[in-house]
Amino acid sequence: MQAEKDLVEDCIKGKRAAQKAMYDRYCRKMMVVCQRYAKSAQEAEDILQEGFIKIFNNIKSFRGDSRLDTWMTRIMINTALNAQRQKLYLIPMVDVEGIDLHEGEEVSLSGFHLNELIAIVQSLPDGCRLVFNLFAIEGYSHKEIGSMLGISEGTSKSQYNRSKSLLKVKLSQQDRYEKFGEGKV
Amino acid sequence: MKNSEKGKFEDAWHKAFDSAEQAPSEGVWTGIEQELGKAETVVMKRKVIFYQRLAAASILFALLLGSLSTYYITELTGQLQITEDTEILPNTSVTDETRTIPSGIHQEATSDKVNTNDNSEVDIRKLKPNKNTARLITDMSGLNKNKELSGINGNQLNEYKIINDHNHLSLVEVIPEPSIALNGKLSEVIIIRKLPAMPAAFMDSKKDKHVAESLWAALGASTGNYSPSANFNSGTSSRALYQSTGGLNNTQGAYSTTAPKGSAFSVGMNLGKRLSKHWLLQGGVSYLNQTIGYTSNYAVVDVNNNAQVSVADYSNLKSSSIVVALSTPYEINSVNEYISIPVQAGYLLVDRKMGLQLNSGLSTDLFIKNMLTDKTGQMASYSSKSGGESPYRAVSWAGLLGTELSYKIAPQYRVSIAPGLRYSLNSVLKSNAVSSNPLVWDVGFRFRYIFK
Repeated sequence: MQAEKDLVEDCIKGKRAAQKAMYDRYCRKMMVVCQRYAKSAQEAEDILQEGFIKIFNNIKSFRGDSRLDTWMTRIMINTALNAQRQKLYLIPMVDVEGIDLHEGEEVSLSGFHLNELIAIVQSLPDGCRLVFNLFAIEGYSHKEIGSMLGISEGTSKSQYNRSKSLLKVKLSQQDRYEKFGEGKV
Repeated sequence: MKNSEKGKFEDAWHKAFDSAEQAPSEGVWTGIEQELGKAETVVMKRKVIFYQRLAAASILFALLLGSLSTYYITELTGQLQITEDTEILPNTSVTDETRTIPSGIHQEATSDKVNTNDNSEVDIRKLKPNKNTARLITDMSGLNKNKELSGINGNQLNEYKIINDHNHLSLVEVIPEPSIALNGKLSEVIIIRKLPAMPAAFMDSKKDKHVAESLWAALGASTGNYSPSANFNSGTSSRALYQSTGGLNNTQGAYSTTAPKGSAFSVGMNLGKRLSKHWLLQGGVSYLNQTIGYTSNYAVVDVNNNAQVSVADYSNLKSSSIVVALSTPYEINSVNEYISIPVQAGYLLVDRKMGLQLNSGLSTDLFIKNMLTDKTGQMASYSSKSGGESPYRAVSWAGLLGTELSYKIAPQYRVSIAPGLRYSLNSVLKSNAVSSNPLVWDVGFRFRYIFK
């Protein structure tokens, strides 16, 4: 297998075979990223395609400061956010006070197939889905999310709380959802 | 990220997706490749436009340079009408010129009268007796710049000396008759006549300007960039292998793409004939080699079950015995060879020891063969000659445009550097689905032998 550094250099030179090799190496991982942000598999593939085009067109700017897949993931996320940004105006960013977040509650998702988890995430409203992905999976803070999406930190928190509540409801509808200490719900 | 904000719920989701993978459909890569191909086409078109503008600018520059050169040459030629042995009257040549007086002479240079060392005046107009003569000597070397006037006294003026003033130089020698009466002694008079400055190369003797270089033979070689400039007509794609009745079988998912540019070189010889003072005609024969890379994900399998490299250019092959086998993408080296017969008209802008000419013309290109080679060496090479099932036309025509900067290194030898453009006027491919008009931008070196 071609070394990552060589692969990047060949992609910078525009070699199509290297681009294909890079795509083959990372497309499955990136597809999951896109699936999480998209509403459907078709939309995810559109984001994936656009994201890889951006990657190949901007591969010169990859300086090796981070891992290549981390850099690629950021591009995919930005591509997904751009695709979703217009929809954000339609998202009712309501506060959801009073929701019990069950902080510290230990959960296990090991009983779920990847497609089931993706389907659950995709079933979230657009705004909730973006905030959930950015906060829970990518690890951004609510302040950073507010800056990225052009919303307030409080709105980000409320959207996340909403998504968390919805996810628990959806997970609880599956008989494989486990809360440690309580067994399957 | 604030870790304090994260809990076990978030950790569970993070772990669930951390190393998750899911394959997209195959159509995603096809779409990516199509978009990249479009972008490369746009970049290539921009490059072509850039080179076209560069060529136009260089030609304009050459024209400007030539015009200036022609202007100065004409100017110099006019000045040189007065040659070493031309006799002129001192007052007619002197009064039109700026005159300076060296040390020992106190009068204003612009006056017709000058003072001599013994404070007597010399009226230059009195130097116009019928038999008084002045001889103008051009002396660009300046070797005689400080030549002293000899035999001059108040009653005798043997010569004038005209020297270099910045860019202008000439010498006038006045030999008056001894009978000229002067009131004083004139020790030295220097008159400056302005002549245009010229590069040393232009100061060659004019004797061989038009008598030589009427017929010559030249050997040459050139190298440069090559772009196939492929255009895909509507309904086809640069990625997809074209479907056609009687064409290759099993083409689903097969594709090939070309690199945006390759390399080209040529070697050849030509004959040149001067038609007039500025116009000339050149013709000859040369070998052209154009190389470019392809990426392909399929091979053709012949009747002997041998896998050979293939690209989309060959999609219209009619052989029913050939089938397509998909493979992992691999890189191909494609080499086209031609015999070129160029005919060019040239216009000489500068025709001196250093020469500059513009060339433009047509070339008839005879296709020899195309060779596809797998760079990894895993698949067999494929070679196609002209005619028959070859996707390439046997004959194509190309427009030529260039300049040639030359230097005469010996009476019968001249070397030159010739940047130029070659653009195919018709597609080199037979296919109606795709056209390819190669563009070559190269720099050539030529060695010319001039017949006596």
